[in-house]
Amino acid sequence: MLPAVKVPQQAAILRVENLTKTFPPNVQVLNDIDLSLEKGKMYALIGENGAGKSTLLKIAIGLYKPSSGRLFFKGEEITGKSVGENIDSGMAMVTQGLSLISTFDSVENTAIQREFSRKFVLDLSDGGGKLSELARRLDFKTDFNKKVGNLPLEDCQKVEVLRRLACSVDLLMLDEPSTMLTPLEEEHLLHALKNLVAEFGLTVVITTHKFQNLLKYPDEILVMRKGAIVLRSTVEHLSPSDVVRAVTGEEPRERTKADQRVEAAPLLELSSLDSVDQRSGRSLKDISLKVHSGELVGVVGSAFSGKDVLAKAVMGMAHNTRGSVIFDGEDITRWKTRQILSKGLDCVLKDIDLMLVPTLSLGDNLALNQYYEQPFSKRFLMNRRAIDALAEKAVTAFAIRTPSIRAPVQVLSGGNQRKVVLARALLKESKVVVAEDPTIGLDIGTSQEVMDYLVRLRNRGGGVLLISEELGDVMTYADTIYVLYEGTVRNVLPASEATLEQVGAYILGLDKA
Amino acid sequence: MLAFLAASILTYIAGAPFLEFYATLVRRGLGTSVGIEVLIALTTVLVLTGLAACIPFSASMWNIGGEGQLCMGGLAATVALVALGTQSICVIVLFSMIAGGAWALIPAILRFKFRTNEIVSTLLLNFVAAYSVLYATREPLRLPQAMAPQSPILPQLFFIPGLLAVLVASVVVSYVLMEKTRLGYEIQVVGRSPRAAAYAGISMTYTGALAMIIGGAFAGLAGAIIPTSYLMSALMPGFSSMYGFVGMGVALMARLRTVDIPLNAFIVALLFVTLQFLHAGTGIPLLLAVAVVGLVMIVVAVLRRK
Repeated sequence: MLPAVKVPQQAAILRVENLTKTFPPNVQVLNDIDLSLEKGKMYALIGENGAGKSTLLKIAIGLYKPSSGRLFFKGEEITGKSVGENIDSGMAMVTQGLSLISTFDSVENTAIQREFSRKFVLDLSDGGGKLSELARRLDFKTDFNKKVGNLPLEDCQKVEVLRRLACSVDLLMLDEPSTMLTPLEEEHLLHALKNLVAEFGLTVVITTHKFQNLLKYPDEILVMRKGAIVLRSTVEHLSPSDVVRAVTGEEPRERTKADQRVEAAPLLELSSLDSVDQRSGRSLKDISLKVHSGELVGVVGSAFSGKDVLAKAVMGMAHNTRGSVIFDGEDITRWKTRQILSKGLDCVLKDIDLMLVPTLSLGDNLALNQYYEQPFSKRFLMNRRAIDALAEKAVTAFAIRTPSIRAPVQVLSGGNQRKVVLARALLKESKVVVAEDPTIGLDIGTSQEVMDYLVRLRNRGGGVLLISEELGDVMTYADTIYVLYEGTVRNVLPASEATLEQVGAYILGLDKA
Repeated sequence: MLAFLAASILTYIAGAPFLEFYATLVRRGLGTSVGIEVLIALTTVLVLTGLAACIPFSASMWNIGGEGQLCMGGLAATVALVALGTQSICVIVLFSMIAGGAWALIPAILRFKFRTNEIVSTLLLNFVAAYSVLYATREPLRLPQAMAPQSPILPQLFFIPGLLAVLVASVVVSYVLMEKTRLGYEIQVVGRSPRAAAYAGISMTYTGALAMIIGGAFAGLAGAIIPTSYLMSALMPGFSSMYGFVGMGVALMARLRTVDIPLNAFIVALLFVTLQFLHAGTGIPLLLAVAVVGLVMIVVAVLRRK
């Protein structure tokens, strides 16, 4: 199964033999894996959500025990050893999702690691110094004395990595480290890690499902799919489409654009809208925007551009103080969400807590935007059969992977949960869908699927308002691009005139690239 | 499920000879007619208070006021029987459920108008209700010749058929409510994810208040049943002796699932009855019963966590 690279047993820092892992009831996540990693190299472990990358790392560090197989670290067998033992022998892991203590500052968060504080006493002496030195070397600038809870998310991610590096580490594993970082910062991180690899012979393994930056820095790429390693190669011989093919098992798709069938009157129009999101305190000023039938409008902007308020402002979840939102001829500026939904305007929001009830079933969640209408409820009674039918339809039409129709939505992977929300908006024959970061956290295959559905809505004459961090998505799919800057619309341009550099510049508030 | 029965036996060991427990359970609890009567009555009461906790809990409305709602229900029933002189079960049922529901409405209003935590308000209203009963049995509703305050003797309205009818009806109604009606669906959404409920346009205030009222109504009915069945013959202060709180325990044992409540209520009732007989027979302290039941509840809740 594995071509090319074979590593002599002695030089291998991490070796895995016949590793299999099955989670109850019978979900096999890793399938008889053999792997040898060489010391002093940087590896990228790529694959879709659910391919088994995180599990592999977690077994390596000892968080999970393998169902069968053996592991060796620096030549010694570590199968079944605990996390503490593995950390002591020189392994470290930066997990997906932060594990810092928010009420401690960075120095304290470093000091609580095994290396610095045994027993119950927090030893602050070493940690701080090592942190600062590392930060200097890696060119990260953060205030280490601030409570971590008050640091922005990107800085938290950096502190996470730094504090692991402050220990004596031979093998550093990072599980999806770039989710919170901007592409530029991701580059910094990879660059810095590469330096550490070169200087100290550190071995680094990074998992990710995005790969734009990854073809530049790692020494080798491993692709996992469905619990097996399907491709292992050095970077020189690989093209991006090779990787996509290995990851998804399919040919990379051609992305098409619809003919420009933009009609005169817009389906959705915002005029000089002022809006405030009471929860986050962010606001929009004087927003004017149009979405026509058969048009996919992309909205981009930096973190402070206020774009996270836009979807809520349209859907009746924010406080609209001035101006108007007109949908299909009606002024919905002060309408409540439920009213807006019944008019045919639906959304896929980034914050999944607003969209799904985790412990309820797929069907129950799908009904959330129309349960009060026929056929789902008549007078006081719910029509369970209609709900089940809806669930079946969603699972087939949108290829949602779930153990059963009745399973609570929380057992689905993040990507599938997002598909559920999208299915809900589309199955209801919505005329316009506001999609906020619909592909966040999704792997390539699922991202394409999601965008396909939105494109199909557009092609049928519907409208899509795509608010996204992923500039790539917007550039590929949007017909018109709006750039928000500091709460207002800075620029509007048709996609045909837009270049990546130009839009990037607008996002930063510049007038030219 | 049966594993816990074993647990319950184990926990009891703190006292009488082991076999005595079973013997009493079978001979007295299930063997005598008195035993069975009390058993069924107690089970019904616990099913009602269990539902009184379960339904609001499902809406994330933490109704700790089962006791109080029960008291007010009993009070209302007694008023109807004594002051108004009715004998009709329907009127009694109606009065007690309205009283219980209204008593539960108060904390709901406090929560939504003044943001008062309902755990606190329901809990404190329990005392108000209990003292109301105390007052009522001392003054307006007093039985003159009795030494301790109590109401006049109340006719027994609930015999075995009646009790079983109430039990089955309440469970069926609750099940249908939670699983098949719109309100049930809304209650579940609101209880499990208030933010998603906002998207769906489900009003937390309206739904939460309804859940409380329904819960209170069930508790009120329990309060009416206690003095008019095998359990007691009049309204007395302290007539509730923790049935409301035990009901909460039952609801938690049943993991807030309506269908599991009757069985759990029965088991708890059985334990109580058996231990009461044991007390009479061998002098084991009655408080032990409470402790044992509590322990059983904890064991069951732990064993059943998903």
